[in-house]
Amino acid sequence: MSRLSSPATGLSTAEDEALLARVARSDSNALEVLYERHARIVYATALRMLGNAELAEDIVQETFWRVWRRSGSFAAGRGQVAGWIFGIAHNLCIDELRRQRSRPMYAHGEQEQQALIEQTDDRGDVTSTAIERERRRVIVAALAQIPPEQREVLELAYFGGFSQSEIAQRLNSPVGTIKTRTRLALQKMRDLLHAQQMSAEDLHD
Amino acid sequence: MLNNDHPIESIPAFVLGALDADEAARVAAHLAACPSCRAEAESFRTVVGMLPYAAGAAEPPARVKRQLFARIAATSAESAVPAAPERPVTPPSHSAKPVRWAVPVMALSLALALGFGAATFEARAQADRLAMELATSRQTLGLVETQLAESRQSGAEVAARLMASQQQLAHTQAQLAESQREVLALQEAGQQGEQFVSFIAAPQTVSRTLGTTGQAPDKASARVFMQPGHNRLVVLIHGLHTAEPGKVYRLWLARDNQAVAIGTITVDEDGIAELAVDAPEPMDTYDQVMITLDAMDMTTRPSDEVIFEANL
Repeated sequence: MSRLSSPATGLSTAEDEALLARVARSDSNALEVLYERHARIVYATALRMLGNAELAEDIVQETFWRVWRRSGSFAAGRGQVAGWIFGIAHNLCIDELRRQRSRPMYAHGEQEQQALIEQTDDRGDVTSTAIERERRRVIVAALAQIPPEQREVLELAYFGGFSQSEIAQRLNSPVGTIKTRTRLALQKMRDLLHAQQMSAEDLHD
Repeated sequence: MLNNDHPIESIPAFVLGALDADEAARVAAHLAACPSCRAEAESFRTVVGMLPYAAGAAEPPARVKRQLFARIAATSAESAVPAAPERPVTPPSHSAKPVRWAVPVMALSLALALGFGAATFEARAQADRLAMELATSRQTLGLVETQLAESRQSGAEVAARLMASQQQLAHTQAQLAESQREVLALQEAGQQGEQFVSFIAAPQTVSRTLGTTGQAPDKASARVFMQPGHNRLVVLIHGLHTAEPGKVYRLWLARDNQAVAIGTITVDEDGIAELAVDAPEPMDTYDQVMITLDAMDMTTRPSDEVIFEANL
């Protein structure tokens, strides 16, 4: 369906694919460029999900190690390289969270997480690039437009690493309700991002 | 939750990685076979791929990158090393061999041509040299034979290892088959559970709480579910002790003071028991139900140790 790429980000998507093709030919310089481009987002995501800098560093290293070893398994033209890399990192974080939660000692891990849309203050954020700031602005704006109860399940699922049944338990709601909220949240986000992309293209035409 | 067999409601959660393993496996299997659901999943993947940007950006410490590239350099060095010693070491004399043999032969023919007497000494010297060459060749042959024997031995080792691997493989396959059987059993158990729940939840199902007697534990409770005109009944019990050895909880149905043993009830360590059975006759033909603690083999009439009872 619609691939998300405003003209500003379209170029970087094509560049990413070219870089990944070089990585597949064992070009470690290309991997270094991909690392420079995406490690900051991977690290921030892992920090948010795991709440532990040391674990988050391990996630960054393991993610790009897997990019290096599995670059051939990326299907070009199907989604973005960045999304693929983030997916690897996200799966690693979820594995870690489930490992933690399955331990009998598990009691913490309920670190209070600041809601995503309250984190929009970019002042002092000297590390992010223009593309990162633009994508962040777009996604945070979209998150702000969906109902809070939908945003909540989305955040618990993606950043909390909770399954639908775990979320249902935490929120004391039927699983069916949680699934419906999740679906509505992602559908609305999809429409919002699509509209955003359309208007960005209009702007450039 | 299926919609015309398409797991529409579960696809977003699947893309978020938020389904339990068994449901995720079901959705993945469906996506593999259904292009329209796959397209739906892809469209959500684009959104999910943007979510990390909401977490902001943070520079990982420089050592992370250093370690990563040291790890990569180490593996590429590793894969480069074995290439060198793998090349077979060929003795430099090999290609020169025909020449070495040719010289004495030529010398011998020359000696013969020059005349036997004069050549005898020369020929003997050549013969000695030939003998030495032969000895060397024999030695080489011996060495090759030893090497060959060694290779055969390691061949045997390889074969042994292969056999061990095959055994391991067979073992793993057996384990896999065992796991598959377990999965099937679990699925079956799940289906039974579903049948249980759907019976209890059916609109035509009526239920009756059984009265406790003085012999029942304080918090014990029991409820029977049945459908008028049908033989099926389900009993749910809470708060009962497990039966002492040699005894068993037994469910009885009675009409006209004739009691029939319907089934035995196993109480688990949490004090919970459930039983689904079919009575010999439709449930509305009975007028009494009771649960007694009986001797294991006493199936003709209920004991005096009545725990629950109710009129139907």
